[in-house]
Amino acid sequence: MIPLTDTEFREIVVYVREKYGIDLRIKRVLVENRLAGLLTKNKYTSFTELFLKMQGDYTGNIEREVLSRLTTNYTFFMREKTHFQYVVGNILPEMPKTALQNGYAAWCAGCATGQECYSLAMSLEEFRRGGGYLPNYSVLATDISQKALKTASVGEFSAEEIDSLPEKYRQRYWKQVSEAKYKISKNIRSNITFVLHNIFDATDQKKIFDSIMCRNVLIYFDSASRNAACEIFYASLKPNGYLLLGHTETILNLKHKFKYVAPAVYKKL
Amino acid sequence: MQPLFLVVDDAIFMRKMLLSILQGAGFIKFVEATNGNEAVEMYVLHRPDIVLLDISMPIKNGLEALTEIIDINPDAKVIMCTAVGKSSSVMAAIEAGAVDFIMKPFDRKKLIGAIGRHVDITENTDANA
Repeated sequence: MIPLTDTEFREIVVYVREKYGIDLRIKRVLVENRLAGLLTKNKYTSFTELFLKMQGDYTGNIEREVLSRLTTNYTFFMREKTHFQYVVGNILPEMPKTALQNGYAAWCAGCATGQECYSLAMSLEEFRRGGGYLPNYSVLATDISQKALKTASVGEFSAEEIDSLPEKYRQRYWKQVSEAKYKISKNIRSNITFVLHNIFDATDQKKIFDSIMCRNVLIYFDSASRNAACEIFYASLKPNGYLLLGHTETILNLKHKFKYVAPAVYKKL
Repeated sequence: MQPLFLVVDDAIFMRKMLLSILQGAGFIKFVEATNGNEAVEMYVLHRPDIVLLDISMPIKNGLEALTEIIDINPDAKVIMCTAVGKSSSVMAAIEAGAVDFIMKPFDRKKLIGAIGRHVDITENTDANA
């Protein structure tokens, strides 16, 4: 296997962290192993060559593949936090109070082990604490992996995993249950429903969600499947609802009725 | 004794969500229907303790199914499930005999609260936990 030098590893860590907020500093083995296949596939002779090709690739395809390989089954709290900020800073304030009276309804499609839906719920709680109008909210979190969903549903994470959260979040929403484990608060947990579900299982969606987060999921789909997913999301959102995708994903080249409003944020009109 | 639920919605997604919340609250007995016709058939067949009935469905909508169920059993406990902005349908359903309504997507506390108002759930579930 082609070795990953210290300099190359540092370059990748800095690049990925600055651009996507993903911290790979303690993931050297993961980086080396997961990108090795890409080197072989493209006949690159070094990680430096991969890095240069990626930066010079105007299509963004190499970068997407690199990200895909580096982030599969890898998620963390407040990942791509601008989205959580967008929900509480833009979406909620612009919603009429009459609409919020019945609560804010969100769907996390492809919730994996739960970090995303808990991050969203904590952000919503903070919004309320800050005086924002939000009588109640409910988050539907779905995934196709029973194992991931089980982890998400239990809501227990290691100290290292919640370490990236602000101190006030750790104190307000987490309870230490053993030397190495923390559990999400009952209040947060009670607002989230976990369901084993494949996005494509149901095409009969109804307009019930104010926002849908489906981040770093579409990158694994082909164009036809991404189109199908977009249609399902569109049908599931209320008018003026929002779709939030991963920052490495785009649906601009697909046929859909969403309006682009911010990086990786789309609105149903 | 565990109450038997009849969960009626044409969207499998919504049925899954309801079942997940109900199972999480300790309920274990369910039957399902995907439209108003099936709902009436399943009601006659199983005589559930409580019906969670969607309003907007193909073939026969929830209001039509509700009317037939109430004709069969005037004491039927039917909770209507509705999306925001359907207040006129909710009023019509209450007038037609529905005992309660809940908004989609389902808020766990409100759903269990509504169920608790109409069937005894104190002994056999952790719904009040």
